[in-house]
This record gives sequence, C-alpha cells and structure tokens, in this order.
Amino acid sequence: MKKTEFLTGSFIALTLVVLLGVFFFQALFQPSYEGKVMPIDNVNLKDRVSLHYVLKNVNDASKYLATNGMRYFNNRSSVPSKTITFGKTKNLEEGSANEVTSIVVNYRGFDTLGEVTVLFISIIGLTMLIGGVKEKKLRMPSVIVRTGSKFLFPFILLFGVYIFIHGHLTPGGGFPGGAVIASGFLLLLLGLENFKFNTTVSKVIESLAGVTFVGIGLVGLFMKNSFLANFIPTGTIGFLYSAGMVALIYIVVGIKVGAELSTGVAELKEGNKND
Amino acid sequence: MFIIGIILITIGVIFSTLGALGLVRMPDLYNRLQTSTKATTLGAFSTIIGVGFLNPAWLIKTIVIATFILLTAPISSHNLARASHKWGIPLSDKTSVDKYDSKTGKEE
Amino acid sequence: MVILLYLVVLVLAISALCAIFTKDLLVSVVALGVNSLIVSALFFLMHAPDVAITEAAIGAGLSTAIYVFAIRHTKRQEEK
Repeated sequence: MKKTEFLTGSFIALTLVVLLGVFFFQALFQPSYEGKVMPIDNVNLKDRVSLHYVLKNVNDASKYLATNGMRYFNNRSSVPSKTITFGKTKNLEEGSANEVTSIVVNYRGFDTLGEVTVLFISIIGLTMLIGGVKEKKLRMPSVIVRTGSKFLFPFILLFGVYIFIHGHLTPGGGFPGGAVIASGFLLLLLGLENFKFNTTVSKVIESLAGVTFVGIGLVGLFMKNSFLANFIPTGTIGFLYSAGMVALIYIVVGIKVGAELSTGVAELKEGNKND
Repeated sequence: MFIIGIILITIGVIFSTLGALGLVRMPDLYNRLQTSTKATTLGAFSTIIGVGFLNPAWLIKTIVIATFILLTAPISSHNLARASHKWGIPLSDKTSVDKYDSKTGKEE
Repeated sequence: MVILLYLVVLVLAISALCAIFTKDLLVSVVALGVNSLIVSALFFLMHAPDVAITEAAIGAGLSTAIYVFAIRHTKRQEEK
C-alpha cells in the first residue's frame, strides 16, 4: 500500500471512530422518562430491564400485568413478587440462582443451540484449511517448565470443570469452562517435549456431546410438548441439585467446547496428518 | 483479624509500588524482569491474603489463589528471560560476566 | 468511578492504535492481547462477571496463541 492511500484510509477511519464515540457517549447521559439523569454507577435495575426478567417467574408477571398494567409506569416502588430467599424457596418456575444462565439456557435455549452449531462449523473450517501444513519443531523447553507444566495441569482442569458444573449458581457457565480446559491442553502442548494429542478421540467426544444436547431437547418434546422444555423438577434455589435440566445442558456444552477448542489448537501446531 | 488484614494489604501495596519503580529505573531487560517479578509476586500474594483475613469466610479461597500465583509467576518470567536471550537481546554494558552464553549452543 | 472508566478506555485506545501502526506482526499480536485484558476489566467494572470471565479465558489466552501459531507458518514482518 502506498503512503497516500494509507494516510487517507486512516483519516477516514479515525473520523468514523470519533463520530461513533460521540454517539455512544451521549447515549449514556439520556434522561429516563421521569426526567432524571441516570449516571452509570447507580443503575436502578428495575428501570433498565423488563418486568418479566425481574420477577423471574413468567406466569406471575403475566397475571400482574393483566390486572394492573398501567399502574406499573407510575408506581414502580410497589412491584410485588413472591419473596424468593436463597436456600429456602422450593419449586420455582426455573430455579437457578444465576440470572444470565436462566436466560441463556432456559428461556432462550434454542439460540444457545445455534451458537454451539456455529462453533462446530468454524472448527470444521479450520481443520479443512490445515491440509498441507507441516509440523515445525519447537525448541526443547527447560527442566523448570517441564516440571511446572506437569504439576499444574490437573489443577487447571479441575478449575475448568468447577466453572461449568456450578454454572447455575455462580458466574460462568459452559463456555468459559470449556475455554479454561483448552488452555490446560495448550499448556501441555507447549511445555512438554513430545506430547501427542489424540484428535480422533476428542472429535468423537465433541460429536457425542452435540448429539446429547439435541437428545435432551427431544426428551423435553416428548414429555411436555415443547422442544427444550424443563422436564426435571426444579428443587430448592441455591442447592447444587436445582434448576432441572439447566445443569445437564451446561455440563454437555462445557465438554463440547473444551474438546473443540483443544482440537483446533492441536491441529494448528501439528498439522493434519490424514491424507 | 482486622489489624492483620490491614497490615498485609499495606505491605502488598508497598512492594507492588517498589516493583513498578524497579521497572523504570533498571538499565537492562534482564534486570527489569528480575526485580519486577520478585516484587510484584510478593505484593499480589500479600494483598490477596490480606483480603482473606478481612473476610474470614473467604480465607481458604484466597490462600488457594495466592498459592497459584506463587507457583506460576516465576516459571513464566524464567521462560521469558530464556527466550529473549535466544533472540539476542543485548545485555547492558555494566555487565561483566555472562554465564549463559556458553550454554546456548547445546540443549539441556 | 467515572474517572476510572475513562482512564481504562484511554489505555484501550492506546493499545489498539499501537496494534495498527506497527510493522512487526508479533508486537501487534501482543497489543491485541493487552486489548482483550483491558476489555475484560471493563466488563467487570460494568457489573457483568460472566462476560468478563469468558473474554479473559478466550481473548487473552487462546486467541493470542492461535495468532502466534499462524504467524509461525507465514512471515513475521509486514511488507511495505
């Protein structure tokens, strides 16, 4: 690229970025419909999200809105909900303590199925592109790095499994759990001198996990007439055995994402040997 | 409990500041790696355990996190120094002995 | 609190500009790693811990490693 083209291109890009920046920042200081200016750090949650999400129990919210809907906009301090206490309330409509999980897996579970499919297709594309790449040898790592990697790998794996098993209680879920597992395998690839990652086994595990996801949805279809319905009784909120099939789906998604990303990284390092 | 937590956090902050000061004033890459790794590892370790003493319900989790930092930061700085010596980043002119130079040719 | 957000966004802008205007591809990849780290801190300051953990694990860890592997198989200096 010549110098004049580079300068005009960067000037146009800088102008666009400044315009977008002005637009974004003035959106933060817009007044709410009551005439108050709302700064960023004391956000009133009931002003920003819809009523259904705050009550977390869609049947109650529909009944409330049917009886006194317009009064919500004027009298917002009196939003009733059943008092939900952590560790005691049983058999809610969807019993997970983490709000993001309840949206991602239960109320919008079909979109998560689409997201998992997109990840699957991108890893297939990566594997097809690494057709003729040969392996380049890395320099042999020193004795400190070799010992350290072998010692640290089980703890990283344990941390990843902890993240996706407690997906309905603490922040996290299936996707960061799988990414941490893949980082553990990346540490082994770089830190030991001859580590062969068996890509055949990991591809089989990934495919089986994807089939299990759709299988859980089909069981919900046969038992409750709706794909990906929650057919296991939701127990007490805050316990590990709560939230029905949300926990099962996050375990499946965590295993699938972990196997996928490890396969992608290992194929980039070693090249595809199937010819 | 409260006083021990405050003392540990103060020690952590002082050592982190000294590590940042060393990053500015040292003449060479290898000196900077050594001072910043040692000081900031101790600083982070003390701060996290001090927070664990301020809320005693979190004590075991903070000990686990601090042990993980203590195990991984020295290994990574060792690998950085080894890699930058292979790429030939020059030592400062006040150095007199370079013991690693004769071993670069052969693998350990 | 707002001052902290503005300072963090300033570091974000500096690292992004450094990633674009340098000719050495390895320096550019390290700058993108710093970018992912700062974005993860920004997500945490906006009270969203799930996205912060995901961005830290994928952006600052695996994405940088994949870029470095891709640079190994091609060339390191960008041509004029």
